[in-house]
Amino acid sequence: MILTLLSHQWKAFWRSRGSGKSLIFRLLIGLVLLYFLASGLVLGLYLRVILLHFFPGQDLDTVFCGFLLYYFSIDLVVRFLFQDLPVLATRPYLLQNISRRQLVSFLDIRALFHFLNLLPILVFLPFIFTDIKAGFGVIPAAALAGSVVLLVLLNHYLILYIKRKSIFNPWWLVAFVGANILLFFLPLRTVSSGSCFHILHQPWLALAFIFPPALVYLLNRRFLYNNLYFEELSGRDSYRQSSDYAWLRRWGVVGELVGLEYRLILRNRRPRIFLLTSLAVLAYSVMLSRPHDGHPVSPGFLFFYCITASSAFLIQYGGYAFAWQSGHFDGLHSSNIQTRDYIRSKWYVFTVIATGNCLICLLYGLVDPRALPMLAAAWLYNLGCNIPVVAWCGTLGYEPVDLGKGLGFNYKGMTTANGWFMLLIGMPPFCIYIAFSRLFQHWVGVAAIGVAGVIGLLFRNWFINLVTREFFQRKYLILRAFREK
Amino acid sequence: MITINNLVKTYNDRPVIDIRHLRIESGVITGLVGNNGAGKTTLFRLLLDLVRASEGEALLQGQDVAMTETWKGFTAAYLDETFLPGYLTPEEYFYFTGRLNRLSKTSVDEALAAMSTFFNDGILNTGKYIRDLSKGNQAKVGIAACLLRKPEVLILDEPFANLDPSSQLILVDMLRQLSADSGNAILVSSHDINHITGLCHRILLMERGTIIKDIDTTADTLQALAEYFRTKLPASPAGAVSQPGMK
Repeated sequence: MILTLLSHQWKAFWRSRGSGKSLIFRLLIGLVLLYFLASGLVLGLYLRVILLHFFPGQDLDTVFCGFLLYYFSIDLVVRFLFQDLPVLATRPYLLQNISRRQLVSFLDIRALFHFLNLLPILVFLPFIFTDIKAGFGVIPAAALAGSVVLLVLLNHYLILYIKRKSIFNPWWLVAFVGANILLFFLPLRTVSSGSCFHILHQPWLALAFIFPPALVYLLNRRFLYNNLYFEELSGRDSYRQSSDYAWLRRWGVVGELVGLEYRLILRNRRPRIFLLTSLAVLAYSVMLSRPHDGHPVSPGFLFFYCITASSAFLIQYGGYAFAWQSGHFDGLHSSNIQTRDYIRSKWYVFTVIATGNCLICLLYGLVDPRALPMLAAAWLYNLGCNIPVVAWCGTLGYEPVDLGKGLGFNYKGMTTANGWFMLLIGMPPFCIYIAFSRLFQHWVGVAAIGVAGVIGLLFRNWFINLVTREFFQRKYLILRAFREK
Repeated sequence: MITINNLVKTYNDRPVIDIRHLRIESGVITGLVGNNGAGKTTLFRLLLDLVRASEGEALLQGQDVAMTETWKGFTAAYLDETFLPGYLTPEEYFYFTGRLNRLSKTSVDEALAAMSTFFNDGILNTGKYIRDLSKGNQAKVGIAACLLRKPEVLILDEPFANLDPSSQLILVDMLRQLSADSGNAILVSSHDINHITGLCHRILLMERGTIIKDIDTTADTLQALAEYFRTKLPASPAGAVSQPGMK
């Protein structure tokens, strides 16, 4: 039965509009994943050489053991961004003669196929079974390897659980981010090497690692088992107040559309979760760029922070520029709205989002005043360059987003592809900055970003016309894709 | 007025719409009937420029829908609930539609008040988002948003489906009234041949993407349509349905 369901997933993947159109894109992603896996394996095989190079004269086993927990705490963050909830429209199967238990098992198994589960095994196991085995013997090495696998499983199911819980209660997300930040203030290295050596000396201790993943796994199962009812969770009886944004009328049709999108963000779980995720990115970047041992961070790194943090909202939200409205796209495009006005309204929405994002980032100026001019440059770059790029990429997005229906497994449209897509949008400013700061100096690099933004702003109308033209070219494809849900 | 010239839509080389010439005059309520797969909804989407025509053109009041966007100013359509932003309340959606069409709040309110029997307390001031309404009430919101615009061209896809019997009758009256008052072009599809013959001045019968019959409604039309659909029953003699017990 589970094999049948897996085969349906396989078909769903290949027959969806998005994949048919972008087979090359999928292949590209496949190649990138393959590259990462190969890098992982090479890293694993040469870990000894690498560690020797970076930590000369130290005991390699201690270094390795100290690193393990660090890896797994960063792994949590990476998983949060890249590990998707298994998407299965369980709805059609609920009335079939398939037991809930089987459906839940299927969801569990389906999720295990993920490169983040393979990577640590490729990186760590070769080292464990060569160096550690040589030093401590077969059984301790096997115990440590077993612990690594169990930690992978723990992270895997923990992230699924947190993501699922946060769909219903966004505070889980806040708690997760908070706990993760706290984790980095712990003496992870000491704890990590300490517990590893305990295991190496008393291998049976590894058995204790069975319990946390088992617990999270069971919690996950119970949660899924109890929440295969979609409607129970969506039926809320509170009175919905109409609102009227009179001040937006000044901008006519464009203002109306902005008001529409504003309500879309406020009243749907998906965009709200997106904004919370972006806040998480902000929090992490603050954490990464806090002064270490009293030394201020390097200006280049600070700028890296400013660019990433100030565009987080825009890239997260704009990645689905049109898809957010996929639920009523037909209606939108047969009502009395000129397409250019529609595209312009996107510009306004993005401008508000990017500006709000930068204002939040300004708080960082309190910690480090050097950040203020960098944020100004980043803000200009976002408005002038990132908005056109994001809007243009929006016309290439054929994946509908399900806003209102079935809350349970509603991560449709949020695929790994979008993760890479976001990275692609994020790259150009770094290239500009690095080129100019290498050629001249740091502040010239910052200024170059600002100037790029101003140039983009000067060409704003040209960009709007360009995106409108591009939109017209792909309009029917987008409409058709959004209709098929 | 709706004009169609050599309109063809093919999927995988299979024509799903192939209409050489069709004129739908203003002031006439035109009904479109046909079994599932006849191409009714595709035709509507072509008229609204939601799918690209493989050949030919569709004109609303003389405007080619694929070339211009001015037709959006005088055309209103409701095909299904994907036309509605589910996260708005019905009131917000009505005012939104009103403002897009430069109608004052007062005139929207007046139009809504005139439809109060149609709404039957299920739409206004219910404190629900559109997505939380029943299918029938969602359809009412979509249809009402079209009617309040008093459009020159009105296109409705199966407006009677999901509506309760009282609302169906009220809708028939409202459409007649609209046609009599403003003389616009109304195109309505339906699977309910009773309503369609009761409502429409002219009926187009669609089969496999083409208009196979163009009927001016008379007293005999309902009977004729019933006969046609009976012959479409899969490989069974015409009488078999009314006598299910016989072999």
